[in-house]
Amino acid sequence: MKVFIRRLKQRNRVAFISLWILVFLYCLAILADFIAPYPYDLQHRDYALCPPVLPHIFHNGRIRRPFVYGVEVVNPAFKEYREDTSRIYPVRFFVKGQERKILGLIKTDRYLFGTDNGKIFLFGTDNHGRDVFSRVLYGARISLSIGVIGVTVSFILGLFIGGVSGYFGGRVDTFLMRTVEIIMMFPFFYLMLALRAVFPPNLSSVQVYLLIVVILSLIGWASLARIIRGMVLSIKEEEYVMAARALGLSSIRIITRHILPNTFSYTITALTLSVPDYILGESALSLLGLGIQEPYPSWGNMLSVAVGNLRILTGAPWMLIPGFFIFLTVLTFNFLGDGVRDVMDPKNW
Amino acid sequence: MTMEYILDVRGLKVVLKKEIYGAGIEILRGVEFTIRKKESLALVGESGSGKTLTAMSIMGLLPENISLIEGEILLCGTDIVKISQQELRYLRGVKAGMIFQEPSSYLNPVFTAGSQILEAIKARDISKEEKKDICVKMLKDVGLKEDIYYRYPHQLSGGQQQRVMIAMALINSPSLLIADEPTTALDVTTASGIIELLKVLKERYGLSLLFITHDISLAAGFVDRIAVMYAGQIVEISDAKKIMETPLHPYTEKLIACLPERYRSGERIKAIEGSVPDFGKLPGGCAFHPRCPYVMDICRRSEPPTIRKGGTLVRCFRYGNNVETNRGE
Amino acid sequence: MEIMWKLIEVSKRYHLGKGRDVLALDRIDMKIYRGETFGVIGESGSGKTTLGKVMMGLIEPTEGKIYFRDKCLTDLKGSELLNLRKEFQIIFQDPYRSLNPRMRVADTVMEGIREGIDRAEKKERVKELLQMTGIEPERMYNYPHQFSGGERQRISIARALSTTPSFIVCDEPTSNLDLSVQAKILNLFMELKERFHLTYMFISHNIKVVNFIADRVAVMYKGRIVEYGRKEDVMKNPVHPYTDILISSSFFKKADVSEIERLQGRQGCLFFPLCPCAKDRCYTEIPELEEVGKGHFAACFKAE
Repeated sequence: MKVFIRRLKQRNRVAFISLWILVFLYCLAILADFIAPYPYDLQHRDYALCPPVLPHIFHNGRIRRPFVYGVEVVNPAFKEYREDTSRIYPVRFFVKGQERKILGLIKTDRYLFGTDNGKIFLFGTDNHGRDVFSRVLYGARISLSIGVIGVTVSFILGLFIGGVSGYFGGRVDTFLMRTVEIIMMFPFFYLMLALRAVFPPNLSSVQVYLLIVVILSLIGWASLARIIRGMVLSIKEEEYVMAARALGLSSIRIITRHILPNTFSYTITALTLSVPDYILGESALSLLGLGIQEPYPSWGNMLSVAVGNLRILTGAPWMLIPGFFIFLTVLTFNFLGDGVRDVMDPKNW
Repeated sequence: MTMEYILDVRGLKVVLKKEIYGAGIEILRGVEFTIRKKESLALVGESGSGKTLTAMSIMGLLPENISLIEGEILLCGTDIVKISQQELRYLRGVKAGMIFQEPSSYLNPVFTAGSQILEAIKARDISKEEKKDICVKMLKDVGLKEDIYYRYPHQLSGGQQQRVMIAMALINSPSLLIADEPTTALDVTTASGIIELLKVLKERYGLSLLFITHDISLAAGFVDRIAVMYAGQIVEISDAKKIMETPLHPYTEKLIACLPERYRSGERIKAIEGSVPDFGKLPGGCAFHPRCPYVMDICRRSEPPTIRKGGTLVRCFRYGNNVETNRGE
Repeated sequence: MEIMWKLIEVSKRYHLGKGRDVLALDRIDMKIYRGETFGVIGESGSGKTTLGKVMMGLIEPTEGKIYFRDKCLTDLKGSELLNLRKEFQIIFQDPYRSLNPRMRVADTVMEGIREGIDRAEKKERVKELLQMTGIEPERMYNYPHQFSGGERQRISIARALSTTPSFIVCDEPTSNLDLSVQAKILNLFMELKERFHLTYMFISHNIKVVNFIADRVAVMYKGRIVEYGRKEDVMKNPVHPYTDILISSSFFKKADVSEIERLQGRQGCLFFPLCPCAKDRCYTEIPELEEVGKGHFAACFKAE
């Protein structure tokens, strides 16, 4: 792994940077409980659609430790706010607050930063008065993990089916490939809609989450299996594979040690590049109201609120910040995928 | 003197450009040889000797990352190093034609053989029918039937494809034909047919031939002179029969000793110690000295000049120290 | 002399659809004796590579029986066959494609070493094998692309030796190598043969190489063996016209090829279209291998 990262750095700077951006994003997601100053469902009733409240350093021309001004509600009906320079709330780090568990495992009562009585809405609030920054962090969990889990499931299924089909050929191959083709024929989008509509609306969010992952993976693995099968068919005829057969190695060993690893240069690249598809798929589902349900945030469903409402779009553009995060994630995955493709070529080792 | 030569290569130096900075890695280090009218010369060498690059230089076909930094290449009196791309394009095919190792790679699979030969004709002022007649005549000359004109490359055998390539190369009646390992990818019986064809065409068209191969015994079987290359230089040039009987350069001698047909059953072949050095990692002095059984002190320090001994030109200190002219015989 | 391999009427047919069939191997009858180097000469399309692969069990024959030391390979299945596989190995032509580019050389060579010994011992054995074939053991953790063609071929040889076989098929092992490298590899083959009492089947289109290294040779044409016998007999007194043409072409004497192009139906001697001395009989009947000298067989009516 270390070698991989080093090679990536050498060959493709952009991919290397992208890798670390993604690592940073995933850390944010994992540590959301610690970093987010507010719970994702805490509504600040008086502060709905409040613009971002950012920390300042200068006050009256002098430097102070970071602080936020108070937020004065000018007009609650029209959601107008103004910074109240008379009230100063210092930003403290590692503040004490409500006790909760990070990832449900580690208890803590400290937050990375916060103010005692002030409001620090780094990305503003949404129409329910919930801190967008905190919701983005919690939402990252859904969006980022769906991609990775979905891709892993597809990967395993696709490799296995494609590998077996290509190597053994004959009836096994015919049967598996016809199955794959039937699966690919399904209009999955409509299946998703139908399934989602059929399931009771009060499914727990975990169940909904799993359902989405399963649906997305099922779409993905079929075409991967076909491509892998094609690659296996040609790799099977390579001389080093014949030599391995001549050595008397078992079929399993030949498939796992010789054939499949030689498909990795394609598969790992393809997978890295398809993670964005899963993320966007989840966003699309959420946009249609079929994904993660309120109040649980995902970047997709946060966007759906903003996108559906012109007034919010024009009046509270910070609601589109989740879109920026989707964009950033997709972009970095793409760059990373390019870099991975470079690195996977053994000639570059 | 110079007009006598169809091809006159002088002091050719070619380098592989390094990616960022620094001098390039020398691949051809001062290649020199001549070919007269109606003469055939074989450039013999193993992989890494630079023989294919030499041919590419003559045709002006060097790839992007390789550049010619010194030398003159006089093709029928014109120094092609100095002319423009446009002029070079004209010379290609008209003064010199080239055929390659894998004929199938060099024929476009979506066009018929005939149309590709037709396309190679450079003369402008003749009608399409006349062009077709020329093609058909050429096909006959290379030993193919007229119906090959309408066939696609994949419908032809390896030998037929190579004959089509030869037709394309000779359609404009060049003075020089460069053949880069034309028989290496072919079966033995097909290959001997191609060699026979080349001999016949050489006579009929008064061609000069530059034949590149790694098989010295193949070369000795049909060319007039042989030039042996090692590590980017020509180490010996001589009459073909003479070189096989009395090789002067130690590399030539040891290379000939590697031919299996010179041994009886059960004998071990006298192989050459060591291996061909990588470009950029050449030993100082004579490039061959670490593997040479006759190595002397001076071989380690300086590069041997080209020395004339009888009808042979050889780069070896065993034959003296004087710098002779590098003109072919 | 002990018979190691016996092939009886072995054929391999490929169906290419639309009624076109290719007979890669056409009723091959062959014996290989223990301790000899059996040369197989042929051009492309002769079936020589298919022959090697069929013997190795990499391709299944459509007809015929193959015996290795009295065991009928074509009848064996499963683990019995897998175990027997270690007795015979194969070395391929293309050194750039016969090693898995993603595996370190040490792992490649280690695969064939029998189970039941611990990893440290296996490593020692790998080092031994590499040393035997002329590769510095320090380089064993490198990848194939870091080695030259000749070196890769040596690694393939080390891999073949890792199962301690008694028989090795060498399928054009030096055809892609330079002359000086070929010399060393041929020497290596001879050394290993002596040291480990190996039997070889050496396949090549290069008559000079086969002439040098083989004890007996077989000449193949379009899936059939047209002549075989002791090397000296076949090379000095070839009976079949094709053998004659091959030898002449290789040694640059003008080959006596037929000037007339003859058409051919599906019967008769396969060499009819090119044969300089074909008669009517050759068009209708297929000649079988007949003894023309002591241990020297040829399939040609000329000999009668």
